Formats: sequence, structure tokens, C-alpha cells
Amino acid sequence: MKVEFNLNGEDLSMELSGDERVLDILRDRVGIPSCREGCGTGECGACTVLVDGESRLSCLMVSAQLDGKTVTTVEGIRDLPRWAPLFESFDRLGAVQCGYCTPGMVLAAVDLLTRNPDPSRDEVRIALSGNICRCTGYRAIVDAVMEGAEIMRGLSL
Amino acid sequence: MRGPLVAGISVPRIEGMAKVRGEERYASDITGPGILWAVARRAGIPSGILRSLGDEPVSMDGVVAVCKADSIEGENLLGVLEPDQPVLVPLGGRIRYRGDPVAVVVADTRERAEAAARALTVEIDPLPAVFDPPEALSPDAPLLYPDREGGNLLVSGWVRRGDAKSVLEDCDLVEEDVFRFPMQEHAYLETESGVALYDGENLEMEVSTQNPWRDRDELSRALGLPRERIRVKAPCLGGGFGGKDGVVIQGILGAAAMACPGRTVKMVFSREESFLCSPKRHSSVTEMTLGCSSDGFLRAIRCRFTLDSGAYASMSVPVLTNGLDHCCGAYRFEAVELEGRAVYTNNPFGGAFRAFGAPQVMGALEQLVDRLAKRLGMDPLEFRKKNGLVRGDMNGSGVVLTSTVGAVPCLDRALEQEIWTSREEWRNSAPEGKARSTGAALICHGQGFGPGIPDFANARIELTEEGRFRLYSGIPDMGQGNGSTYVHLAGEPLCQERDRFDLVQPDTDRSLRSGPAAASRTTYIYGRALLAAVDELKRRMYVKAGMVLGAREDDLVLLPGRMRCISSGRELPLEVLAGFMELPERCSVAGSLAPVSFPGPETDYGPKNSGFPHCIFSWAVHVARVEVDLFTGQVSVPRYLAVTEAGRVVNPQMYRQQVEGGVAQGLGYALFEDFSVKNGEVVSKDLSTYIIPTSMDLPEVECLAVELDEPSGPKGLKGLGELPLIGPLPAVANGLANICGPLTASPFTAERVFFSLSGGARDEGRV
Ligand code: FES
Ligand code: FES
Repeated sequence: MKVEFNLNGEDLSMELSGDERVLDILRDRVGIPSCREGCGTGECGACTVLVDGESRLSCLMVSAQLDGKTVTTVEGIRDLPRWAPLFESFDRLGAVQCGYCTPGMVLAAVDLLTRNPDPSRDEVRIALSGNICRCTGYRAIVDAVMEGAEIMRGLSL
Repeated sequence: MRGPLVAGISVPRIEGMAKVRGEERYASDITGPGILWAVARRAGIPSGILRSLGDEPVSMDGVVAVCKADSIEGENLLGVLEPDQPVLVPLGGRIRYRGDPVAVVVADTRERAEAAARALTVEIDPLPAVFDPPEALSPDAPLLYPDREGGNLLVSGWVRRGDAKSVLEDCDLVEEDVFRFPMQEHAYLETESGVALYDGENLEMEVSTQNPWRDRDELSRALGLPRERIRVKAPCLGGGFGGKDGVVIQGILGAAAMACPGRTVKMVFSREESFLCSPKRHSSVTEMTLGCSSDGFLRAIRCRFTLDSGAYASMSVPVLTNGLDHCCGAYRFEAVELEGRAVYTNNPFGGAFRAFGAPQVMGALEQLVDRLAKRLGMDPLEFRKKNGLVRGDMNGSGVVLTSTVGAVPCLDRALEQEIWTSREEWRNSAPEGKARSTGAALICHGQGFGPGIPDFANARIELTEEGRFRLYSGIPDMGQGNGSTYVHLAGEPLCQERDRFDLVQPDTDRSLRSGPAAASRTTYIYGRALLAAVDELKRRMYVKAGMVLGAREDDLVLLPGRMRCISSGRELPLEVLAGFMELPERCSVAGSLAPVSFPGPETDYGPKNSGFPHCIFSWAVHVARVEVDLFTGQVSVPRYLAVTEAGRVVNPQMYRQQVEGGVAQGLGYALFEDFSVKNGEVVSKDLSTYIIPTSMDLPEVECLAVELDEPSGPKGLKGLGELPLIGPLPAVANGLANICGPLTASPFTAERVFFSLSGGARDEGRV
């Protein structure tokens, strides 16, 4: 079937069988390696993408569900001034170790901060609880989201 | 940070931003047009003889090659210490666990390779299997290696000093118990993965590995290719924790690539395959007896511990010996009698996992220590202080400790922390239906390898033509940040900013052999070599700058980006200086052998292998506040303190990352992680049944450093990677013991705790 969607601001039209995983389409067909597979069964969050602005697990989505949607990965937001403070906080505060989970974490945080620019630590923890990080113990990640949010509020972006 | 790097100041990791932006390339991310996918077919039966393999995949759509054992030209055997693991099981060969690969199928897409691997008919004549170490040692047990001397006993070892039996009889107080801890799975987010290309002559592989050089040696032997014709590169790893220290995917990936010359072949384990086929933390049974005098001095220890090695030896021998070395923890004993065994069974195999056998013994020891303190009515930390090793003491393994010993300083710091001083208030503040308590543990972990394997590293650093510094790392970065720490260590003596460094990840063709990312050795040993290489490079830069500027060397100073003549004020940019130097001058290499091995302690000891005994340790005290829901048994750990002595802190941010990450994994081991195996089959096949902590499950760890200056370490540091994982299990257990009595089987799930609360019979857990 023909599937049309917008990926990081670019309109794409692809001939796909309706049951291909969105994760594989992004990684192997379009070349978006930052969207990663950690489990393939919806438990780790490494494959998180934003679909029409909401965080979704691309390993659990199939191509047919993409049609007419807007898909965003870190590639689509990493150069936007609006989110720069969040990226910088992740780096500066040491929220990154092996980094395999990180793009998914950033997207889960973007989803949260879009809905709630001023979250509590507990709200951040809840929002990230679907994204597993085996390295950091999460404290630094929560710090990064809190501080990134605070800076962004100050800039009222 | 602006300005040159200085030790002691937090600096974000060098590749941090690339990782946040999703630009870092892991082995699993490498892709390209025309890439082929390989998928292994596994035995699916725990024990048997491989009789036949079909040819179905050959005619299937997209299939490029089907690789079986007969297409492998080398010895077809893997294993560092015991080459016992076939790359692919040959016809007539033995299946020893369900994960044994019998064939690899290569196709143009992953789906097609998977379908073809599934379609292959495999005939195996089943044989009796054994899944429990004591049973495996019984005389009529089925043997995994019928021709092997020693049968299913892979290795045994002992340590004896004094007469522990009679000292124990003479002790005023004795505590003993049997502790059972399950397997633990690394669960790195990036499963085993890599790409390989064979051009008909040379094999090049980029793979998620902790030791590319040893991989190259093993591949050479197993696949029958001279070492010089193999190149292994290790990009940043998506986690490792020991699970990628050894060949797991490299053998079958290499064989697959050699079956398809000229084509790049990619392989990524599924999560389920990774759970089945990667090495685990060994499940263990620890039987331990501890005795002390009525005035609170520990006197003797006896311990026998048994590790389930599973189907292959992997790292079981050093894990066992490292466990023996840590049996006596941070304490002085008059008499010691330890015995360890690792046993082959038809289970998934045990191997390296952060802290390498130490959690299985210190998880027991620290609980018994607490019980003795309690019976004596002593503050458990004061009791530890009384018995804790100090410099000059002989430790359990018979080594007189002559380097920094932080046990007592850490205890002193912990004793004054609010989490400890307020523990009565915490206990009394429990709301209706809950109980609260505080538990602590004193832990230590050895530095580097033990004798038997020289612990060396070779560093290489280059001043480039652009006046930058290129640092060739010899040890992979699995996320612990060693690459960045190397830059940090080199940056201070070179007086340069972080951004002037380029870091080359390990590559057998470009960097130099330096051993594995393992044994808390990475920064310590590579750092020593690197500082020596930096010294030499600096010396050459001063000589050359002196010649160019016509100045005396002691009139020169190296500053960010330039060399300056102090008296004249003239400056020489580094790119200009580099222009006067040929490559061999600009490139400096140095090796270092770590002084962590010890020729022979004052004890009678059996295991003659890596891992025993160590002579330099890092130390820590962990304190956990626990809360138990009395109606459900649910445990939470709302607050956690780790006081750590691992020498001087070079980068506080990275130091904290190591502590927090280790505690997170340790709390997972203590509370949730139950890698359950029934009849050799993994029951917890995915992350919904094998539960690792999420952001909702972990406390924010308070992290304090006691900085002793370790003279043998670069900038005074010691290794830290493994230590923090050991503390959580005993600290939490000691907290829980005050509420529900002793817990000897982990993890401390709600069911176990509830059962124990309601006074149920002792839970014997699983082996
Ligand atoms: S890969 Fe999609 S949630 Fe893990
Ligand atoms: S940083 Fe390694 S999984 Fe999160």
C-alpha cells in the first residue's frame, strides 16, 4: 500500500506492505538510526517517536498507522532553538552514559514539556517511566528535564 | 568548562552531545545499501547430539548463504580460558544448552533471514540433561563433556589460613546461613550487534565488544584466519556491564560474513535471543559461617560457595576466584577457610557481570556481620569499624594491604550522616500499615586482574598537523565514560581544553592492545600508560619548540593551543609546532603494567588463575532506608547513601554516574531481577517478565566521596566501576531483616517479603 506521512518536516510517500514496523521503516528504509530497538515489544522506550506530537513506540506501530501522520524524531528537533536548552541540559548534567536510551528519553521529555512546561519531579518520573535506562539510575535524567524546562520557561519559548 | 582541563572538576563526556542528538553510531546503527542480515538458528533443546540439518533455506527468497559448522575452517571453538564453546555445533556434536547455534542464515532482509532460519529442519537426539549444580556433581549425573577430566566440575578452589574450624568452636558467637541468589541478566539496552565484511582475504568487523583484541585472537583460532587478516573495531557500546566481555555474537557473525565474501553482513540479536545466549551473573549458593568474640572482634570465617556455570566455562574460573578473594570482605580474620566450585549444567552460561562473583559472597557476608552486631547489641557500623581493615592489616586472602584502605574513613563519614543518625526517627515515623528501617553494608572491590594475567595497557596519543591532540583509546567505552576520562587525564598535563581533543575508539588497526573494559581496571591502568605517553609527547614538544624559538626549554610553557616563551613573550601555535615535527615525533606511545598482582600470599590457596588475590581495593559504605507495606510485602527504598573511597576523583560527574548506575543495577538485583530458568529454558524472556528498575523505582542516591590519594593510580585514582553494585543487596537485606527477619533468597519481591512477614517456612529459593 501507499503510505504518506511527514517525517521531520519532509513529506514522504512510500510503497509499503501494511504490516511493516515503523521502527524498521525509520531505521532501515529512511535512515533514522537514532530511533533504536531495545526490546521490540514495547517495554523499553528506546524506539520512541512523536506522532502528531505525542510520544509513541515505533516498534509497536505498523506502516498503515503512519498514513497522514506527522512523525518527529530527534533529528527533527535537535536544531530548533526551542529545544536547545533541553539537549544542553542532558549533556551538561551528565544524563547520558551509554546513550542508547537517550534520544527516546529526550522525545518522551519533549512530549511531557509540550503538555506541561512546568512539571514536578514526580511528574517527570512518571512521564519517563516507559523509557528504560540501564546505566544512569535516572536521577541525572530527571535533573536534565527539570533544568531544561526551567531554562525554557525563562526564555518563554 | 572553559579553559584547560583540571582534575577534580566536573566535565561532561566528550561524546555526550552527539549521543543526545542521536548522532553517535553504535554497531547496531551501521547500515547501508546492499547490506545482508544474518540470523542464527538455535538448538532449542538443552542436551543432545546434532544429527542432521536440512537445506530448506537454500531455495528460499532472498537467501544468500546458509552457514553450518562444516563451512568453518578453523577450530570452531571459542572460550578464553577453556575453549569449550563451538561457533556452530557440528553434525554429531553435542548440544549443551538451548541457545547453542547450529546454523546461520544470511539473507537480503532481516525478515527473510528469520523466516529461513525458522524453516531449517534440525534433528537432535535428546540426551539427559542436568540443571542443578549439586545434582550435576552426583556420580550418576549426565556429563556435559564426557571426556573431560573432572566431569561436570569445571573448577574448584580453596583458601586456607589458620584453623578456621577450631577457632569457630572457640568463638563466643557464631552465625551461619545458606544464601541463594539467582542469575542476573545485563539487559544492556543495545543487544549484541555488529557488522562484518570479508573480502576473500581479510575480515573486518565492527561490533559491540568490550575487548576487540581478544576477539581478534579468538576469531583467528576459531575461524582459521591469521590474526593479521582480522580487524575488529569497537564503537561506543550501548551498555556492556561484562556481558560483552567475550565472544557472543562475533563468531557466528564472522562465519556468516566469510560465507558471503564481498558483502557486508549485519547481525543484531533480538532481546529474547540476547537473554538466552549472553552470559549471566552466575546463580549461586553461598554457605557461610562467621564467628566473633563477645567483645566484638571477628575471628574466623568458613564459606563454601557454588556457582552454576551453565553449559560453558566463559569467565567462570576468574569469577569464582574473584569471589573467593572477596569472601572475607573488608575485615580482619584470624582464620579463614573458603571453598568455591563452579559447575557445568545445561543452563544458559554464566560469565562476567559487573563485580564478578563479589555480590554473591558479600551479599551473604554482610548479612551475617549485621546479625552478629545485632546479637552483641552494637551499632552495626561501629561493629564494622572495629573489624574493618586498615593499611598494614592482612586481609582474608593473606595479602598485607600496603596501598590506600578506605574502609574505616568511609565508615566514619557514614556514621555522621543524617540518614544514619536519624534512623530511630525514621523507624518510628512509619505510618499505619507500614514498617520502616535502615540497613547498611561495608563493601570493597579489587582493582584489575589478579596474578596469572599481566594487567597491562598501551596508550597512544598524537599531536596532529592541525595542532590538535588525537587520543587512541585502547579500551572500549561501554558507557562508563572512560574515553572522556582519558581526555580529562591527558588534558591537565598538556594544559589543553577538552575541545582540542579527538578521541579514536578502539580499533585493532589503529590503537594499541590494552585488555578489556573489565575488572574496574580501565581508567586506572590505561590512565597510567596514557600519562607516561603524554609526558613523552610533551618532552618532545618542548625540545622542538626550543629549537624553533631559539629558547631554553625551561623558558617555555605549554598553554592552550600554543607554546609560549616566557622571557620573550613569543608564541608558537601548536599547528605551527606540529609542522616542524614528523609523524613519529608527534606520536607517542607508552605501556604500563599495573602493580595490582601479587606473587603469592601467606595462605594456602588453590585457584591459580586470574582473580586471586588482589592487593589494591576500592571501598564503600552503603546505607539504605527501606519501607515495607505490611499488607502486601511491597518493599520500597526511598533514600540511599553511598560513601565511596576510590582514590582521588578526577571527574566528579563521571564518578557520580558510576556510583548511581551501579547502585541502580544493584537495587535491581536486590529487589526485582529474577532471571528465571526452568529446565534450561529462560522463563523471563523479555523486559516485561524480567523486571529492571524504571524511573519510578529508584531513590536519588546521595553520593559522597572519601578521597584518599592512591600513589599507584593516575592522579591518585582507583577503579570504581564494579564496587557500587555490591552494596544494595546486603544493605537492603539488613534493613528488611529488622522488619521481617532474615531473607536468604533474593530478589526481595513482595511475595518473598510477605511470606517472611507472615512467619512462613524458610524460602529456599532457586539455585
Ligand atoms: S524497542 Fe520499542 S519499546 Fe523497546
Ligand atoms: S544511558 Fe545507557 S541505557 Fe540509558
